[in-house]
Amino acid sequence: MITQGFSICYSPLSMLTNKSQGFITAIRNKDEKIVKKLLAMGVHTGMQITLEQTFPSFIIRVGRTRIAIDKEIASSIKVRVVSH
Amino acid sequence: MDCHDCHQSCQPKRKKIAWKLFGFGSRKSVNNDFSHHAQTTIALVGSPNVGKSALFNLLTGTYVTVSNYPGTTVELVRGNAVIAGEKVTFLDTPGMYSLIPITEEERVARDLIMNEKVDLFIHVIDAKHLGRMLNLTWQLIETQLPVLLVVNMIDEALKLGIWVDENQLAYKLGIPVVTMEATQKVGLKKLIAKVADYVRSTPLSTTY
Amino acid sequence: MSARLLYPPPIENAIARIEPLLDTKNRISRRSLALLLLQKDPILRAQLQQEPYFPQIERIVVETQSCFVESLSLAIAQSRHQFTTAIEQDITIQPSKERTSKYEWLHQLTVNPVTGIPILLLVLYFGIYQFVGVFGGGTLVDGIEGFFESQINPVVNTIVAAIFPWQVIQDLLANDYGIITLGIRYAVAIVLPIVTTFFLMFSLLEDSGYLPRLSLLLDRLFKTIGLSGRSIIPLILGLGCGTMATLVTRTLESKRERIIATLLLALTIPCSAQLGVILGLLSQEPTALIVWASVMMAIFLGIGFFAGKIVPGNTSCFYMEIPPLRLPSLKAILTKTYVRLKWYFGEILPLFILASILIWAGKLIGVFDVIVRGLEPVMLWLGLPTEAAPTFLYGFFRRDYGAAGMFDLHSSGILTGQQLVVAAVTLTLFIPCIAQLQFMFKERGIKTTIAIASFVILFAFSLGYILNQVLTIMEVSF
Repeated sequence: MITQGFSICYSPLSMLTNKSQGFITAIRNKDEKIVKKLLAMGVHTGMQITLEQTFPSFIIRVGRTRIAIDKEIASSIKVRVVSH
Repeated sequence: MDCHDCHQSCQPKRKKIAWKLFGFGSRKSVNNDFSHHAQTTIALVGSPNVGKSALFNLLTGTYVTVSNYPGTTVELVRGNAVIAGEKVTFLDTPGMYSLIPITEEERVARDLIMNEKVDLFIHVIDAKHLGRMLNLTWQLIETQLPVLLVVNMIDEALKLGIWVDENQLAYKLGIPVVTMEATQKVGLKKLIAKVADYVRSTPLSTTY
Repeated sequence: MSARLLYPPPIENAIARIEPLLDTKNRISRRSLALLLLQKDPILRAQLQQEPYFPQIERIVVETQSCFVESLSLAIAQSRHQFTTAIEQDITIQPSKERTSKYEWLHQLTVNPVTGIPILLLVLYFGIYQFVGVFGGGTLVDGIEGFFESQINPVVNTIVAAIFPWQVIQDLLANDYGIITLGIRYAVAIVLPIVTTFFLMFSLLEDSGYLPRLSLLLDRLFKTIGLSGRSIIPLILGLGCGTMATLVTRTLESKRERIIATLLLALTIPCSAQLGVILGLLSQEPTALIVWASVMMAIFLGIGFFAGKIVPGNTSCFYMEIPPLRLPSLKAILTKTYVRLKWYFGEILPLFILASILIWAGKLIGVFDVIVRGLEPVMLWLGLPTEAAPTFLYGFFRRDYGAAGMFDLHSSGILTGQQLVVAAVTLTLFIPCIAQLQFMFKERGIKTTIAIASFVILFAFSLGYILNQVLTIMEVSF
């Protein structure tokens, strides 16, 4: 991990290593549309998230849904890591 | 009894069978008889890949739409059926995730909800992703437009160990709910009956 | 009592303040409208912009926003999510342990770039090249073409000659450019087998759930040409029918992405009829095929790259749900293929017949010959025989029509080697068929359509010229 201590709680998804698991603590992006997209696909704060792949695209699993996203969207999902 | 490939040529027969089973037939046979009635319009809405198009085909007996892949149904598709003796027009819409559209094709359904005279919205959701998809159901309920919820792919969900209490859900939401497996025609009669209830209870005669 | 969703107090408060401002004549409830306004819904805002009470709504929205750290959309979505999750938990029994799909291993293989890229290449090689190009465009076309040439056309010519004594009518129905001998023959013998094999393959890929995986593998590459992984679907569909694909560009998010995709579809993506004929023709000469494929690939990436720089707007983000892989049902694939074919032929056959009539009428009054003669110098300029001129003219009526004409020229030994490559490249690039042009106009508007069409014509012929020169200088032999 790049960060240490308590700041790890709020890592953007794009900085995490493959197979990390955690809980979504926030969804933030200056582009409101991206936030809306994620919400519409069922990605909400508080949900458990698994990062399944980071290249060539990010693949996340939230609930029973698997979603492919690019780095830009991945960086807008903040995660409190539980295990990796 | 698959008429997809020849619905033009075998319509009379189809009509007969359909009438016997649940009192609905196809477009050509009813055009003249009902043209003086006010017409009931029912729209199928929901996110991509929940089987809207399959259900549409089942209800109207036509296969006019292209596909259920996100993005290949990009326009409204129209089809007709007769339910409870009334001509009903069904609309199949491109997928939408939320009332606020993101892409152009999602706007089609949104415009329909906001501006068009639709008598009933059938929200089709995937039982495997029930919680997530109820979000749009609730947004539709909030509009106070008439909504019927179809929880589709119920058999697939069952295989994954998910069991849905249809009655309890209807009670919680305060709208009619039907669980279905549209590809296997499971739940179709129940849905037709619920739609028929709706068609009968709508005071169509007062509008004309 | 059914459940009721109450949003956080500041939002409920705002709803209560906005509701009385709104008209009661709307189709949907004022509560719902107020919620849309709080989520800054652009459509509704544009609609109400002129209303006298709009500034007041704006004020309420800003005030309410100040109560939250996160955006109001997020707060509203969060309440809804908690509400619906609670309902879900109440009315469902969830499995204690999540069961994974039995194709989970295949999913991993298709999305991991190490195995995924080879799989992608195999799918393209067997699915598109072998099945559509070699089998559809080669074996099937040869068989049906041969049958038409040897069995049907002579009979049609004889019958028509026996019924109609006038040469003019005979030419309309039969002989070289007749409705039956040319129009129907092209449709049934060349286009039908290729388009059918393509749609079969596309429906299979679609129903198996492979396409979203293709998108996620190619997203990074597509970002460099101003598109996102999402565009792969209209572009692949464009290998089937550019007209259908132009319609499907609607699923793309930004105007910018839609314009770039429309341009690439018009310019570089050959439709299946074209592709099938070209693959069928060129596969006999591997060097020719390699030159054609690399030139097309280079143009695709080059034009995409420049379009990405020129067309205004930001690069789109990529997000896509990845459905589980599944074994598609044969019935569903056949039905889909059938429906697509029906759409295609409902749109194509009339145009084929129309094109035959236009060519017949054009020949009759001499216009056709004038245009062909006008095109002849262009052909010489490209190093092609003058006999290729009508092929380019048909190409306007339908791209595949032009490709099919090329097939005829090659069969009669007029077009060979280098000429074949130049003709194939120029025809692939050449303007989209009438139907695609019409859909471009419908989807993108007149200005974009004219801009794209003029660019495509100029680019196609210029590149054909340059390619001819380069191949001559480099003394590439086929």
